[in-house]
Amino acid sequence: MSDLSFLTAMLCSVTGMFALCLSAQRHWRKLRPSSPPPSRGRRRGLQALGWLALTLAAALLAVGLGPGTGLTAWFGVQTLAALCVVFTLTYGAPKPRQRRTFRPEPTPRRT
Amino acid sequence: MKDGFRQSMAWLHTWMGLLLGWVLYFMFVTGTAGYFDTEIDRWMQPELPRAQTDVPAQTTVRTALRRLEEEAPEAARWLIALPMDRNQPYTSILWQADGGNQAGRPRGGRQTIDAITGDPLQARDTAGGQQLYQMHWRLHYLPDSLSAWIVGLASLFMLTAIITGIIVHKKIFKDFFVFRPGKGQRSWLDAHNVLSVLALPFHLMITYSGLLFMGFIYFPLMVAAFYGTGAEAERTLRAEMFSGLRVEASGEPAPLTNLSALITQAETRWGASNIRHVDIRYPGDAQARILLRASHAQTPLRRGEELIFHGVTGELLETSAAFRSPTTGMQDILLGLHEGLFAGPLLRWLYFFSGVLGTAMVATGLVLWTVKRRQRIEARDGRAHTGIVLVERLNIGVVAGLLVAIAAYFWANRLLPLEMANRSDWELHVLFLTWLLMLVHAMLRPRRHAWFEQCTLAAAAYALLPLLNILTTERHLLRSLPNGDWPLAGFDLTVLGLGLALAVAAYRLHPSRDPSPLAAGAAKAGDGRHHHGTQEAKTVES
Amino acid sequence: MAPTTARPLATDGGRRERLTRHPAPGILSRAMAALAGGYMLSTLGGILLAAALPLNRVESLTGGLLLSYPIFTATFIWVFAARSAGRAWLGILATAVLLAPLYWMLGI
Repeated sequence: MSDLSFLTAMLCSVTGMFALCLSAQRHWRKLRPSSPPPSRGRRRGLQALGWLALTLAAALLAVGLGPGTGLTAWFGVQTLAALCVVFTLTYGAPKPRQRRTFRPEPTPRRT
Repeated sequence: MKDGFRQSMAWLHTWMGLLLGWVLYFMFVTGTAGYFDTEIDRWMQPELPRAQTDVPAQTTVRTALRRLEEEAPEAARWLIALPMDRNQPYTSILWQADGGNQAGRPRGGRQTIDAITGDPLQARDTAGGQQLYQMHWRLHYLPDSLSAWIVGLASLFMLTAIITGIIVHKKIFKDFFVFRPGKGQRSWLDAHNVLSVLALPFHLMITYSGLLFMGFIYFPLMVAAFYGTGAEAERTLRAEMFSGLRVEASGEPAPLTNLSALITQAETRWGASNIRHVDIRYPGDAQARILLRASHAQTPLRRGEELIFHGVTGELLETSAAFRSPTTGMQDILLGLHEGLFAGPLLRWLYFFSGVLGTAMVATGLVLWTVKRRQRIEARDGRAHTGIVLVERLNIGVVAGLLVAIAAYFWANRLLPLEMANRSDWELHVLFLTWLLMLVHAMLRPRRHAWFEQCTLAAAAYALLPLLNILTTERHLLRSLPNGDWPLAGFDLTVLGLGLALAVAAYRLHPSRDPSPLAAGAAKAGDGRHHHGTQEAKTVES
Repeated sequence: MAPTTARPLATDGGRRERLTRHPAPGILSRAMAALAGGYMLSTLGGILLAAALPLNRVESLTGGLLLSYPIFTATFIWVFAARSAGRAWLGILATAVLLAPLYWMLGI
């Protein structure tokens, strides 16, 4: 029961974190370079989906582990989920064409 | 105005972090290991049987009482700690000659016994996981009070560094997911930010709650304002803080009631295997009292309900709730969150993982300090000055060296002769001697070589531990895995994983690798390509 | 683009007394103010809260302790954010003096 709620909460959180990540244009461009950047409404939608998923994770953990333990676990799960996104964004994103050169990336990105 | 404020805060963050960063790193490493303290204990005492948590409480209490009657029939207090979960794998008994309300340490003894036979458990003398984890507030070799103040100051600095870090971090939400590797200083800053921000709730909680453990030591004046000073004041405070059980012996003998009924009563109330302590005052006296304490590891609230029975009649006299008031409840929750006793296997791993992130946060902060300054000062003077070199060397000796030293501690556990006098002390001496050796090594070798060599050494020392275990004990992976003995198998697999991770770090830090992750910036790294790595390291450090 | 870091060589004519280009005495004075002043204010603030809480002795004291660390940290930060070391000291002493009437009222 508790392991199951952990697992589902983890899945929810990773989904939520990815949605929140994709709601930022710069991350969308990095993760999905071939598709056009999302519209404002779409970004809002991703944000809402993200927060909803994180809330759902909290609810799952609170029910599965009890409120105190569940909430504690929620923070840990968020850390892990966010780290999954960081790793994907850093090492798993589709590579830009001119990867081998030492030049800065072709499109100057605003940071 | 705003910018000036931020700049001041950046200054404060930088220098506070550096000043006690090494102490904090030590605290984070040993504290993180502490989330697996009893598992480490088990590995360091391979003679011990498996945890006896599934022995029924009735059996355990019967065995323990028999043992206590043999060992200390005259004692004024008997305490039985029942094996409940990973936090307390075996039965411990403790006895005291006089009361339990006295300040100071009364005469008495303690034993860890087999829950069924009652025989004391025999195992090698070791400092174990307990002393390794206690080091994170009880700095070894230092007197307790001094280390309490050092640890307190370090924690206060940490708390301030966290708050100033948040103030300084301009794009805390925008850069939430951002790590840009291979860009020198930029990457170190990214890593430091990501490690700090992603586990921020943990960092805040662990630091603030850590300070609470020794609040009464840090603020004696606050205590004095309400309790006065002196031994009597301290006794009153302790009595009010810990337990409502205050009783005097009558001197008339009377037989102790049968505990079996009380245990049943408590188990009906709390559920099976949720009795943590059976605490008996004045056994054999007409005024005897029996206190049953529920597990304090069911939720983050680090306190269990207490039932106080009359020791002769068996009548329930008093019930003391786990949640006593908003303030003490808050304190108990924070302390509970800090220790994580309530965490099952998965949550325990998350705790451990958060601790690793904290460790890495401190380490990246320390490295960032040097990477940033080396670039600037080299650009200005052509070479680094003593201060930077010193910090760099201390970083190596502390960050990598401590990991080697802890591995040496485990090696000592297996290799020191079993009959050695003061064996457990020597395990700790080995840890600190190795650490000293690493610090000296870091001072003598070129910077990049020192990083590489110490990481390689640490990688080998951890990765080979399972092999050492096979050669020296019967409780190795080839046995523990098929038997599903997870505390032991978990230790071996974890150090193996740690060794592999350190091997990757060592590979990336190889002195001939260009650009070095320790080089200052992306542009600089590009320029540095025509140098040979080792030469570069030597010239800048001469 | 690196965040505002400590830059000992910054040469902008700051309006405020710049911490970062300030020599040792100012920093030392601030450090003293932060540690000693922070300790004093957190003790005083803790006692004050404990006295004000309608709980029993040990519970109130615990409440005071819980609050004392945030006070300490806030003081620490404030001391280093203050325009000058002198102002930092002044602020700490003024706070302590302003708290005095409350002590009378609570009868400590």
